Amino acid sequence: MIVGIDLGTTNSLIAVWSEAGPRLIRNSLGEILTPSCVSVDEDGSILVGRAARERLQTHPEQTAAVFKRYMGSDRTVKLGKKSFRAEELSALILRALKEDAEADLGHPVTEAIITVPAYFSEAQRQATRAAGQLAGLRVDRLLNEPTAAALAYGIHKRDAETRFLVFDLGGGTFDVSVLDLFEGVMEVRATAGDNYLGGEDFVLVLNELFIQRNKIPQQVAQDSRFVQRLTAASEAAKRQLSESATASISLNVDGAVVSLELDEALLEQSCASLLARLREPVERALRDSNLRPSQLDNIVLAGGATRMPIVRRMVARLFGRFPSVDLNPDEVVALGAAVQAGLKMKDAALNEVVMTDVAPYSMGIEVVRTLPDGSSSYGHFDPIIERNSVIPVSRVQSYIPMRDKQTELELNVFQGEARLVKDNIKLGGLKIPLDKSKSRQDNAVSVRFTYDVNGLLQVEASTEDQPKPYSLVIEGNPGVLSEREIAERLAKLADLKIHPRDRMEHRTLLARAERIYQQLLGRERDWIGGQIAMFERALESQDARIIAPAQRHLGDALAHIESNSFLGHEPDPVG
Amino acid sequence: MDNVPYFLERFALDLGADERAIRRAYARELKLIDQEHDAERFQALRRCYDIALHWATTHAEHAGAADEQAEPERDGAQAGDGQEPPDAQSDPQAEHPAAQIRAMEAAIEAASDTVVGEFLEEFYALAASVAVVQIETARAMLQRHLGDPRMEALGSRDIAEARIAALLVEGWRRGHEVLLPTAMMEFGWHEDPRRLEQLGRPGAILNEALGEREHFFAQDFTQMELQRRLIDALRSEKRPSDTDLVRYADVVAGMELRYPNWFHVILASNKVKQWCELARVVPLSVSQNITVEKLDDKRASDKKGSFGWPVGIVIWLIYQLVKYIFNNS
Repeated sequence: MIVGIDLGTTNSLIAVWSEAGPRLIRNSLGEILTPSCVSVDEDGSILVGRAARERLQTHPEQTAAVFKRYMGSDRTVKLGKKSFRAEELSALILRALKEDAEADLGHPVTEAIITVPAYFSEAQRQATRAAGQLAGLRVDRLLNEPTAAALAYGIHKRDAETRFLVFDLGGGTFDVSVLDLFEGVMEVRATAGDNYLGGEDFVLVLNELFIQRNKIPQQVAQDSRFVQRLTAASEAAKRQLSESATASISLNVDGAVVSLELDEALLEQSCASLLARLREPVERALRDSNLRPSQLDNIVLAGGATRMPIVRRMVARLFGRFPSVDLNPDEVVALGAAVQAGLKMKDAALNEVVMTDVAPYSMGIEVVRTLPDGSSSYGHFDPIIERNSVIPVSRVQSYIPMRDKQTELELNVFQGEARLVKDNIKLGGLKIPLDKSKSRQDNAVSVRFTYDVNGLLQVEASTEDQPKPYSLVIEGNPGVLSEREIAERLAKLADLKIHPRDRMEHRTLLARAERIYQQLLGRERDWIGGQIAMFERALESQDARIIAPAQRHLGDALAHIESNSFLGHEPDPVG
Repeated sequence: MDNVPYFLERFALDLGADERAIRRAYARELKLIDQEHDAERFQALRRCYDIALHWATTHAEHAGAADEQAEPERDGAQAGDGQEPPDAQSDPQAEHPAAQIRAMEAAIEAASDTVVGEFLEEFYALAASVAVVQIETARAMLQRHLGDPRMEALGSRDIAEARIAALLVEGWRRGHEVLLPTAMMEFGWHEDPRRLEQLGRPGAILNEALGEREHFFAQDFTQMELQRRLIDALRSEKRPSDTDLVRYADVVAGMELRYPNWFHVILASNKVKQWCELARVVPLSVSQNITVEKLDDKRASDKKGSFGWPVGIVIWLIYQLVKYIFNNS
């Protein structure tokens, strides 16, 4: 059985292909969205998901979130005494999802399809793959998120002939894809995106607004506990604004209640520069597919941030019409990953469906160009695989060295669109020895780029004397783990104590209670303190007949306090 | 039929095939291939498909198929022709029969034209009133106009971009030397040269011009400063001094040879010729005492020339020596 996983910046989901079509799997709390948060508990065990999300406010030094943004870099996050790379934190999420699926399916899960933002770079894709390996999953395929959304959308319309655009604004990334659906073929025509634009950025804008308007002193504004509490409150207010016209952010700051009233207009005005950034990728995807907006039959929304009315209005203004809202944008990517799993398993129900994807960016090498008067211009980028080429793709190009009798040719491989290599991302380098007795024309080098369906690149170079190709190994990039490093980290992760899945529900409730306890003052605080102590005693009894009522009791108490105070709600992860 | 081209044969189609038939045949063949593990076969199929689609498009256009059947066939059309807005927009062979859509697109185009017109009016007025237009000022002005509510619909910026590109390659006007880098930054021509490719002929010229401009800025600093001064002098109404005329005539001519497209955009076309002619008529009594300089090709940072430095120094020493001997003789 292959599972489909949407490993998101804010939330992650797991789904499987079933006879009835794609199906989402609930976690141990019975929820579909598992927050992409990891925390180290007091006893050193690892907490994942909602419990960790609650602890983001009470134990920010022991908790990590939004680490998808560091994928493909060597940045580490310290949780208590241990430090983790983004791959490892992601692996912990994947492991939790895997266990949820195993509990649901009743058999082990070893293979997965993981979705990545279409605009993820080589290093980010490698990191995602490594995360899967670290979680004990064979990553059969990396699937672009907007393509996954398109699969989920298209599977219902497979007999139709339609052309649509997927507008995928997730927690941390933005992708746009233009697709054509005909005769069961789902063809991605063009993709564009912004790897650093997502729902989390809108929350940061609200944080900033709260700090500015209320003149919060700097030492408070930089306190990590305050930042986490504010972020949670801003997130809740952002969600609130998706349902009602106004919302407020209220926080206890040094014993006083400080608040910010928000309405749609203020949100829209504060986020204007973020909203403006949505335009360019849409324009580019349309340009690259040679289409005008009027030639699209539909706009499909994916990613939780597209729930925001200000985002929907922006989409409506851009296209001059309203987007389709048939599918839940939080779930559509995971559902599409499950469809891909079905395709991969060659499920009979899908044998009339084929999907083709494209390379999101160009890849090529550094070259020297000659100007009209014969002088040389250095540092130019020469793309070998152009962006939006249908994948898998393999292309060869020949290059001649700069000078006669040159002994070596340096091949620098880049990814990007800029005309100069200095503005693109370097993927690696390779030195090719040349026959120094030869003239430059006789010393031509063939360079082959092969880009597979997972979005991973292979580079080979050969010369006339050396027809056996040299391969480029993209290593030494600090953002990418080597096979050996993965093995080492796998051993390290195996030593971690994971909080038992069957006790997750209690642990989550306690984490939530602790969070609320910290936000309260005076009598309310003492009262909740007492409720927590009672629940802990009940847990110690290890008797389900005692625990169950105590759990209900504490849950009711928390709900009561939250609805009767200025605490705001912890965002309800079930949309 | 034995003269069926291979790209149709691959799909078991004949010359009567239209785009719909090609797509259907492609879909059928695609389902027989394992893309992931048989990349080569997939690519070969894909190549045939692309060629066949392109063939169908041009074929249909030649046949003058102006009815609705032609609708999907333009999809496969290559950039260039589809993107040249004046033609594409007024194309009577509309994609969708809905006149409504055509009217909407015409409105978008008209709005962009108005806004670009307003921008240019303001920009040229500024260029006429100050000695040097700052790029930041020009960029802010362009951004303000592009941010106009009338420019909100998708595609309006593309039209504005095409208009400005076309204007730049028409030849220099006062201020164009600033409009070029301004437009480059605003439309991301340096970050994504493919945008220029999509602009057809003007884009191709600008692409060359920007490549030349990059070479200019990658030069050795003193070289660049000298050339920058010469460009200013070329653009100026004032006649350069006899010394400058003679000393730099070759440099100026060399620059135009090296940067023909860039010069076309940022300078009036006859300026270099004028300079050289003026230099020619400088009296011999004056010109014989002037050292004529040549255009150099030195880069700011020469990583690759590991022995470029020592060679450079030797040449410089010889040059100093020669100068010394000349001056003393």
